[in-house]
This record gives sequence, C-alpha cells and structure tokens, in this order.
Amino acid sequence: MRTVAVSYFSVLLACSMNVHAQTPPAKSSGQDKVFRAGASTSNITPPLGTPIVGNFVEPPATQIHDELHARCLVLDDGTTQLAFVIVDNVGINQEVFDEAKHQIHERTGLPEEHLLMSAVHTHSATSAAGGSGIRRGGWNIGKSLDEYQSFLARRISDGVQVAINNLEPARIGWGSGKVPQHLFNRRWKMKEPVMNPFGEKDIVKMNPGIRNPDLLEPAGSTDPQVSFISVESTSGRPIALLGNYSLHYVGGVPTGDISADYFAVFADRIQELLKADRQDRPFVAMMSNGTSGDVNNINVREPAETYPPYAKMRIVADDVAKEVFRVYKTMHYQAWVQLKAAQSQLTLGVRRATPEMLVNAQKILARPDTAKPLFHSLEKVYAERILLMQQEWPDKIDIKLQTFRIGDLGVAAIPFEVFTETGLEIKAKSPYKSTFTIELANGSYGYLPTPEQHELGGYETWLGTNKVEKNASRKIVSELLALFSSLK
Amino acid sequence: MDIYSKIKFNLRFLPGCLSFLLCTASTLFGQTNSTAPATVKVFRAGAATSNITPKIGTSINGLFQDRLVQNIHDETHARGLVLDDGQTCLAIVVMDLCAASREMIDKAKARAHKATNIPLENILISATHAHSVGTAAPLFQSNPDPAYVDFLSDRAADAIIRAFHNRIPARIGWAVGQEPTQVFNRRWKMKPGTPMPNPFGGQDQVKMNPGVANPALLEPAGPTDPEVPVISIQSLDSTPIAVLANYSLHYVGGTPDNEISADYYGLFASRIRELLGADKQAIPFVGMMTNGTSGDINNVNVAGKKNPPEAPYTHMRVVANIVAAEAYKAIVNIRYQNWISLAAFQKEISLGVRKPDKKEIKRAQDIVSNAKGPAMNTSEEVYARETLLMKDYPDHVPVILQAFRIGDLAITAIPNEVFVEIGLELKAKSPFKPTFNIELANGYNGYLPTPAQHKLGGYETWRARSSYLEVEAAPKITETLLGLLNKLKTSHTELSN
Repeated sequence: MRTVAVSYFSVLLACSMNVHAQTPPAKSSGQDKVFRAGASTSNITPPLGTPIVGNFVEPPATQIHDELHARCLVLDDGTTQLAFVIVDNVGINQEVFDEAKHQIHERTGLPEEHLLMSAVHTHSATSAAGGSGIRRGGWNIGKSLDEYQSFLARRISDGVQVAINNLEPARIGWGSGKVPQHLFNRRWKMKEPVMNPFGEKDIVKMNPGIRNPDLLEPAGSTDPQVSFISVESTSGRPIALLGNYSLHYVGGVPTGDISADYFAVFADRIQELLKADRQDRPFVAMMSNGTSGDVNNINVREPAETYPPYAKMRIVADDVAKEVFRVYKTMHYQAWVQLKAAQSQLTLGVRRATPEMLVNAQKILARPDTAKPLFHSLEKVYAERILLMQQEWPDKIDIKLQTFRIGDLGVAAIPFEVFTETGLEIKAKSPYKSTFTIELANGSYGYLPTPEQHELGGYETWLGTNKVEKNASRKIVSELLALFSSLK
Repeated sequence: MDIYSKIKFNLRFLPGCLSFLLCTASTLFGQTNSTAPATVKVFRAGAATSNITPKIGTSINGLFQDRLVQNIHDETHARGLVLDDGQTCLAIVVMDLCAASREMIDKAKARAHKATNIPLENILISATHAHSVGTAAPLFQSNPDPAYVDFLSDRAADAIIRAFHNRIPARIGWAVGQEPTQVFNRRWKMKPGTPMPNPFGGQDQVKMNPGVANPALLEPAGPTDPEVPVISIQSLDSTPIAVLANYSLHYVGGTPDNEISADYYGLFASRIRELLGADKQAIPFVGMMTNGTSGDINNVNVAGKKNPPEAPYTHMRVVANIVAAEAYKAIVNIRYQNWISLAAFQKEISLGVRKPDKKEIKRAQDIVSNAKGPAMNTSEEVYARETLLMKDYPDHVPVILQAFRIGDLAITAIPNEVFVEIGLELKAKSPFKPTFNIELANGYNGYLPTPAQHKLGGYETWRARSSYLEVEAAPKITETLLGLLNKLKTSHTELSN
C-alpha cells in the first residue's frame, strides 16, 4: 500500500506544479493506481519421437526446426490481474488448461476467469488432446493427463508464475491495422455438389485445389484486421506485444519437423522491428489466432506458388509484423487502464449421427482397406470418428466462454475453431471501441460453423470435425455479447 | 556391414554416421570427360540446443542447503554439437547443470545412439557447473526429482539427435585465447597461526574462499589456467554453425537464491553469437562454453580490494563479455580446414573410495543425532550427514575417462571437479597441441585434488559425496588419459602413413 500512496502523492505534486501552465487534468479514478505488466516464455518443445498432429497422418517428430513456447502476458491494474497465455499447439483440451489454471490458482490465488489460454493452431506440434490418432476424437474429460499434457500444464503454470515475478510498472496501448493479402476463405461453393464421407452431397468444398475448374465463389468472408496490445516499461523498454490475426496457419513444414509456424516468426520479427532483441529482461511477443476456422493462406484462384520449407511463413509473418509496427509507431500508451474479466459456462448439445450415417459407417468399415471408397477417400476415418463420438461423447457438454475488458478494448475467447463471419459479427456488435476474438481458447471442441454454413456442408461441418449442435455459434455470440455488457 | 539394421528407434530413418560421400570429379569441376570417380571426403557438422529448464518448485543444486525454484531468470539448455568426418562422428553436449550422474548420461547416450548410430564412446556429455540450475545429482541437501532426471536424459539425447539432423558440409578450425583476468585460485595458504578448522574436528593447511582482503592471506595454494581454447565451425559459405569454448572457471554466480540461470555459460553463448553476427540464422548458431579444470578456481580476487555489492546477474555478464571477447579475438584469426579426421577412445578404471572408518562414523552419528534438524545447518552437521551417506558406498567405483581427437586437437573428458594443475599437466604432456580438458563429463565422481593438495586439506578434500575418490586418484586418471591420448596419436600417425 505504501507504493500506491507515494505514487498518488507524486501525481498530486505533478498536478500542482502544472497548475499555472494549464488546466489541471480531470481527476481519474485510476490515477492513484499503478499499472503493471510482466511477460515470459516457457519452453514446451516435445521430445523427439512423439507424433505430430494436425493432419490425417501423424509422423513422429524427428527434428525441432524451432522451439515451441507458451507465451505469457500478465496485466495488473492494481486491483485486478489478467493473464494471456498463447501456446504453440494445434488445439489444447480444456482439461489441460484447467490443470494449468488450477496450479496457478493454488500458487497465486488468481481466479480462473482471469486466465485466458489459447492454442495458436500450428500444425507442426505434438498432441495435447490425450493420445494420438483416433483417440484424440474420443471423450477424454476426467481421464488423467498423459505425459505431454502434464508437462504442458506445468510449463504453462510456470510461465504465468514467471510473468507475475516479472511484473513492473508499465504503460499499455493497442491498435489495429489491415493485412488482407494473406487471407483466403478456403470454403468454396462448387458448380456441382460434392460427395462427403457420409455419402451426402455438399455444396461447399474446403481447399478445392488450385484453379479447380468447378470453383464458383468463396462461401464466406475473411477478416483482414490485425489487432495488437502493446506494453512497455515506464522507461520505454518494450515488455510484450500480443498480436491477433485471423489466419488458420501457414505451413510449409517438412514432415517430421516441429515448428511454431508463422506465429513464432511474427514474434521474432516484431521483436526485431521494436529493437527489443537481447534485452536484459527479455521482450515477449505472441500471436494469437482470431477467428480463422475457414480462412487459410492459399489463393486457389491463382497459379500454385512454390516456396522452400519455412519461406512462406516468413513472408506472411514479415508482412503482418510490419503492419503492426506501422500502427505501433502512431499508437498512444496509457499510464493506467481498468481491467475486468467475466466468464460463463454454456451448455451445448452434442451433434449426433443420423441413423443413415451410422448404417453407412458400419458398411464402410466392413469393407477391406484395399477397396475403392464408396463415397470419399476419408470415409473410413470419419466412420471411426462418428462411431467413437457416438459411444463416448455425452449428449450435452459445458464449454467456457470468457471476455476480458482492458480499458475500452474487449477480448472474447472461444474454445472452437471459429468461422471468420462469427468473429466479424462479434466485432460489429461489441459495446467496446475496439474488440478482437481469440479462438481455441480455454479448450478445443472442434469447428464452429454458423447455421448457414452448416447448410452448405464441407469439411468443417462434417460430424467429427464439428461436434456440437448446428445452432451453437448463435448461442455463443449472444452469450459473449452478454458477458461484454456485464463488464461495461 | 549393415549398421542400419541395428536402428530400432521410432524416429524417421536418419542417414547414419559412416556415410562417405561419393562424388565424381566431373560433378565437382564440371568436366565431362573424366573417367575415374574419386572419393571426396566431406566434413559435416551440426549443432542444436534442447531446453532443460526445471519446474518451478523443484530443487536447485549448488549449495549446502536445498533451495526450491521460484523464478526462471533465463532458460537452461543442453547444447549439442555433432562432427562427422564421413567415417566417424563425435558428439559433444554441455548441459546447464551443476553435476550430472553417470546413469542419466548413459541413458542419454543410449537414446542418442539408437537414433544416430554414433558409438557410445564417441559421445561426450558434460555439466557446466552453474550453481543456479535444476538438481540432476544428489549433492549435499539437494536431491533430484526422478522425473527431472529422466527428462534430462531425453533432452540431452535430443540435443545430439537434433545436431545430427542439422549436419551440413562444414569447415572447422581452432585457436587458443588467453584470459588471465577472470580466474583466481580460491585455495589459500594463510599466515602462520591462522585457525583453519575443518568440519571433522581437525585443522587444514589451506582455506578455500578465505574472504576478500583477509589480512591473514599468505599465498594461493595453486596456479590458474588462463587459456580459452575455442573450436569454431562454419558452413562452406562462412555461416557460423557453432563455437565450442573451454575455460577453467568454476562458475560466477550472483543470482538470487531461488532463481534458475545458466550463469555466465549461457551469457557466453549469447554474446559470442552476437559478436559473430550469427543472430536469427535459418539454422540457429549454437555457442557452447565447457568447463575446463576449475575445481580450485573461481572468479573472486581475494587479494584485491573489497568491491561494493553488485546487482544480481551483473558480474556474470561482465565475465561472459570478457571471455567472449577473447574467444572472438582467437576465432577471427582461425584458418579453417575443409576436412579433418576424428577419433575417440574411452577407458573405465576402478578407483578406491575414501570411506569413513568406525571412529569417524561414530563421531558423525553423534553430530547428526544432536543436530536440531530436520536440515543440517552447520558445516559439521552437513559433513557428518555426508559421512553417514558415504559409509555404504562401495570400496571401489568405476570412473569413465575419454579422449577425443579432432584433427590435431585433443580433448580429454573427466567426471570430476578437477584441480587446475591436473589440467595443466595434461595439456603439457599431451602429444596433441592444443589439448584441452572438459571436467564434469560423462558422470560425477566429486572433486579431484592432487595428492599434494590432499595433504593441505581444505573444502575440496573434505570427504562427501562431492569428494570421495582415493588420494592417489589424480595420478591414475592422468596416466590413463595420457595413455588414451598416446593411443590416439599412434593410430592417427598410422592413419596418416
């Protein structure tokens, strides 16, 4: 309490000295409080030999191209502390985050609602979903964490602890720019309906292939906005920068390599631009994923681009970092802002297979592996997935929705791979001056198409890829807006 | 000769060590009329780091009392280097640990061998001797978390596998810098009449760390070794791949009690990378600082003036910058070779253990039972506890010794905190110039004083799990290592002929 009193006194002193030069500033409720920030990284690189997840095959990790991290930022307005943890993984189950949050709460007393943890969605990391292969689609809640999940939870909680240890008086600012050129809606309406693995016809095809002659038009939008929060010490030393951009990932990683994709390249590049290399207290940058369930980096309208491994992610990261830096230079820091958080649980129905789908699944699985597919090359994978879901998943699940308020900036956190139009809707309807969303946050429950997109079909809507009721996005948006209002 | 059939590791097939590249002269020189293919020897090298930061709340090695991690100041690593002359691979790993047990290291070597086929005796794994790192071996009142020890085995192996994977055609060179300003013999003879009690109830003739500007200082009990040997490896287009340096300095310290830091070893790695302009490379540059023979050498100039206390981490940065500057000076004058040959020999010897006798055990039991506890607080109590732990040790222990030849340079590896005069003797008598030594390598068998230093007594000779080999251990180890070096010399000469 003494520090607070002293700084209050010095504010008063500064005001009285200025009194003849200008009108004293209006008394703000925050002026007697010290705003602090601390950041850290915690290394989460898996051991070699563990399977890499994100695609339909899961090769063992044979090489670490770049280390994986949980990147932590803790903000403190003197009363409330909020923590962001952005983790280099494809998607992290709620129980892993819950364990990390539990450990943090035990150590620091920070309430769970104040801890926002998300996965970036790199496709070149190992599984944090409890096992590999088909098992990852099972119901793993309540099972004990596997070795990597336990390691991950502990490294996250250690990272937050170190960020708290690093708290120092700080200023905060935020802004946004636009990087439209790297975003493409990957769902396309096709001239002819396409067969899906369940033997149904879809109007939409995901990743239809470069210059596919049957392309009609993209089935959805993109969100070109890149948002960021920046914190620096009161002496002007950069502490951390959290970016947010709605791009699934970039890829271009050789088989067997571990890499944090463009998310880490962005962190490195913005650090370079801010001249924050080799600081005694290391600067920490992080890139969170916005709402990119249907947005990738492939322009199917143009001829194929060929790049050496890791080259494309560097280009994307560089462009995004440069845009952030351009806006950063004009951004104003605030000495103090108020922090608030709200979280709620939402019950969603689990989507069930239709009797026809189950019959088809049995039929598909009865066929020899060598037989030509009945409907689709992935039909066996999906047949196994829907049967496992049918057996193990409960009829209803509780998911966590969370919002942060940082001054007049709102952040919404959603435990799905969210479609871009949902992110745009939240941004448009938010009561805050600036808003962004973080997907795959506090859990990972598959894709979240809108009801309209469900009608169009396509990979993201397939049962097994999507797991919850078709109306889920509506309920989620309305709940998040209610949480935003509660913080107003 | 199907060596690959032995690989049963669940990693993707890696082209094994022993892969002479066959190129035709025509491919190399663009000639079309060449008839006979020629064998071109290609030297390759790769380096990688692997994170070994311990969990918050677990044990920190280095002091008499155990401490628990509360903060990570800087991450700790296993830093790996693999050299490959086309026929023979050598792997060197240095870990940010105070000491590393033989068991942990052997498991790491086995995992690395499975994935790369590098023979076990061609793998050298050492600890830096930072005192602000996770506990990997039981020392005084710090005990390792078994899960951390398993993690370390995997991570040390992964540093090798990753380095092996990163191999690219490379050139290599070495040089020896001199940095006498940062090393001080910490064992002092004191003016006659100065009391020098030891925790066993006797008097020593030498005092370790007698205190800066102590008026009773007479003279240091031993020399220092100012050399900074460096091996530098770069790609054929001069991109730095790795620098392996060696300096005989125990550690620097100056960290808050509950913080993890790689000490000046980590800062050296970062600073040499900066000096070489090797930041942000596509294949990351790896700097490595290995510990030479520094059992009796520290960074405290007790003969100098008392300095005002410094902020944490300040002094280690000064030391790292000075040593890196000297290493850099040596590196810029290196003439690189496009190919050199590699070789390794290893020998295990059995050495006696200085076990406590009945009287000593009785005295120790009395002290421990009278201690307030649960932790042992006085050095008498700490050593009494050590005496009791030593009573069940075997009479003899195996000690692993190893020598590497890298072209005309040799490295010895010793699983002890080695006194500096032993390192100087090895350097002087080695048939290879230069030769340097890496201590705390391949296991941990405590301090290694010379028999003459044993006579003088002092901390490093006090019997504990950190000092227990027979008094004659040093000459036996020196003799074995010189034998390995001479064997390397003979086989190299035969090879050259």
